Amino acid sequence: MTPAYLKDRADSVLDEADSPSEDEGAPLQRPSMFNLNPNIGTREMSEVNVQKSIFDNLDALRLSSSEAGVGAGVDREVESTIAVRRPRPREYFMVHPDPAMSLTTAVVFDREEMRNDVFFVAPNMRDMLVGETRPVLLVPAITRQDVMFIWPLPLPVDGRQNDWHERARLALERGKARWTRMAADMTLGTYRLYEPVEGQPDPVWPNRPLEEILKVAFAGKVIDSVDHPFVRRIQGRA
Amino acid sequence: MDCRQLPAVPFKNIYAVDFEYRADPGERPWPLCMVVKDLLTDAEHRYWRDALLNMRAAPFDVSHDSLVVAYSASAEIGCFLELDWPLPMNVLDLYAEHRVETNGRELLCGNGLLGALACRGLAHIDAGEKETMRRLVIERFEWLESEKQAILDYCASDVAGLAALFPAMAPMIDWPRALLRGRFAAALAHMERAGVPIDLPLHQRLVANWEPLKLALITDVDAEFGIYDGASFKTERFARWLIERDMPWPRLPSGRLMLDDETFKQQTMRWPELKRLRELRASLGRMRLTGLAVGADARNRCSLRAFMAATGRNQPSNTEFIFGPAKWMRGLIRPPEGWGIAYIDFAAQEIAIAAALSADQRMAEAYASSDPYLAFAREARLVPADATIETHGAVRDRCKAVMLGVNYGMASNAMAFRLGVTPIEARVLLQLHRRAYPQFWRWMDQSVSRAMATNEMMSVFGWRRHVGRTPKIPSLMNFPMQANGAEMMRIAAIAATEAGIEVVAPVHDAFMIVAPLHRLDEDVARMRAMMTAAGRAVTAGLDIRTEAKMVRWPDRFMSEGAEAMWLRVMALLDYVEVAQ
Repeated sequence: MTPAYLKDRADSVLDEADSPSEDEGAPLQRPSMFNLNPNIGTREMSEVNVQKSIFDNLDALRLSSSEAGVGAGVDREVESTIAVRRPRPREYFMVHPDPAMSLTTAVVFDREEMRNDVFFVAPNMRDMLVGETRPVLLVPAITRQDVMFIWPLPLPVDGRQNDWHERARLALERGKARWTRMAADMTLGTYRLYEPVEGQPDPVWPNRPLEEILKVAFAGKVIDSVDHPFVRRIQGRA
Repeated sequence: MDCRQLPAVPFKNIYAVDFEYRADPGERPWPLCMVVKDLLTDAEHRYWRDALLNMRAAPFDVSHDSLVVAYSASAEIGCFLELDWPLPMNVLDLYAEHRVETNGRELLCGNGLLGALACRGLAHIDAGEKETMRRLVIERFEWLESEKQAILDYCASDVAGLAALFPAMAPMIDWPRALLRGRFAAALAHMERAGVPIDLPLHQRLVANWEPLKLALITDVDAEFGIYDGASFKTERFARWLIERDMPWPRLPSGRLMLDDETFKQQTMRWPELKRLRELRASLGRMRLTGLAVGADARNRCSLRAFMAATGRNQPSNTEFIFGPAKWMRGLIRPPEGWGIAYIDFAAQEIAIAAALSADQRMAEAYASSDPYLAFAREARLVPADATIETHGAVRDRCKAVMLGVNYGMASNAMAFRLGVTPIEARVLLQLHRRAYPQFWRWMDQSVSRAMATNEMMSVFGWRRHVGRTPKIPSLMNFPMQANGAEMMRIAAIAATEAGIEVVAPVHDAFMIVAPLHRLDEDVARMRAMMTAAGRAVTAGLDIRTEAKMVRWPDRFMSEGAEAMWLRVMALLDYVEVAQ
């Protein structure tokens, strides 16, 4: 609502914004203000075959902002990190829809002493870590804020279903086609699922194979020997 | 792109304007030159100071048909005021619009004109050259002809920057609201020009004796703590002091004690005996007294740095602005002889905004009851219906912390710490708030959810914030209250300055005004009426109360709870002056 004392000006601005100004639609009298040569437009300039001077086509010489090292594109992330976690209660996510971009495997959720680590368990260590490992589906997901993460969705153990996991599985399937949000409802004993009322653009997935994504996500977090700190700790050797 | 080809620019004339001016600390701007470029004809005109002083109005049309384009436009308007020129009817502040377009995004080149150009791929002079020219402007009062030419060229290069930036930004501009922000540039210029009246002789005494005064202050306050060694705060001694009193204290992940002012502020709420230590640290640690920008006419002036905060609120320098340093220093604020000052603030502004925007009727009723915190306590059945602040002050304070904390997205653990209760008790209090105001919570959840889906949030007058790659949910929860509070302040500032009220400073959710004594009551009444109208404009009808505190010459301004420290400093000042 516009206050009365602002109305006259704000309304007139609105009126003006709706109606074309007198100059609108008038034939263009002058070339673009960004052409250094006042007698020739950019398009015509590119069609000139013979240039009298190198300065006749400064547009061709001008460095773009990225070439000049300013503005967008001056840096790119080289040692990226990818979190391994479930979606947060407030964030909308989508899940990579390609079945080839998921992996059923075993991990360890280490939540002792305020830790919140997820370790990838190498096949040679699975037998040794029976009781500690959880079967999961690892799948890339991406937030509306363009942050990719690996979602380790727990799978039923010995066929035993769990409301939380079932509901999360449903969220994962929905997330392959649309933006989804899941938030725990402790009273209900499961996740509530949401989707945005208005449609949102689909994410742009990084063009990286799953192997490469997992390599980054589990960097330093692979249990592949009995000397791994986690194994040492549970065996009382740490 | 040619400006004439821009379909949505509703003006017959568009002028890019830039001044170069001296701005000594605390003083009004001293215009040196101006360059103006007609963006529709490309005609450029340059004026040196002597020509500007001979003009009674700007040498271009500033009427309803024309648009003045500037970057941080309050500086240009400040020069208009200094030259006593009629102000432009329509101002487009590309800085404000750049902030609206990019607020919350990571910008590699900052928010200056160069940064705004660079992030749109538009080249300009380099920052090194800008600094060289800036020094040439601010360090001299006389210039050679060649230097004048260089300064004019530099000024013209900024105008060329504006001319490049304007068509790049114009298609994204939300015109009605952009012009409202532009109109605020004039209000801002008025406030920055007015400045806060300061007791200059006393300020000079304090500055002249600051070093011995500091040591005397430490000796005096530290006598009951034993924490300082000379002028150094000893963390180990403080840790020991806490242990001896069994006083819990938050720590950094590294294990070190958190010693920032915010932590002290929170702790002081629980442990009032820390108050004097906090005041001492605030007074010493920041060394701000000597940085205060006071002009020869005894006014504290500095850039209010509008639109600097993500919420759109002002963010003036804590060093230069009198409301930045420790609260006792505000005792330096004193009206000139024959004048009075008034500090007028919106009462519980954030709760009123939350109630209005969420359309939570019960919260609106609690706000209307004049003590929303006690109303919540009653609603939650924590106190009987006839409870008062006298009978149930402690419960009321707890409810106040909850009501304000939820606006900041405070979770139960932080709330428990703040209130000195267990996390379970804090969780129960939050649950009671959820039950008392379910509509507010639905609205809050939906607001955050929408922001997370659309990647942006917006105030009712179009101040935008992008969510960014690493969203902080509490700050998204707080955004509607803060951003709309800022809108309310901007609208009130426009109304008041255009009505001729001398507003000398906006201070978060309050204004300070000055007026001759015979007009003080009347100006306060007008100011309050305009603030109420601004409140209604933002809340679409809810009346937001205001409270006014007036000070008449020869009295001085004093912040609540700061008087004891003020008196102590004044006594010590007398003492060190005599000792010297």
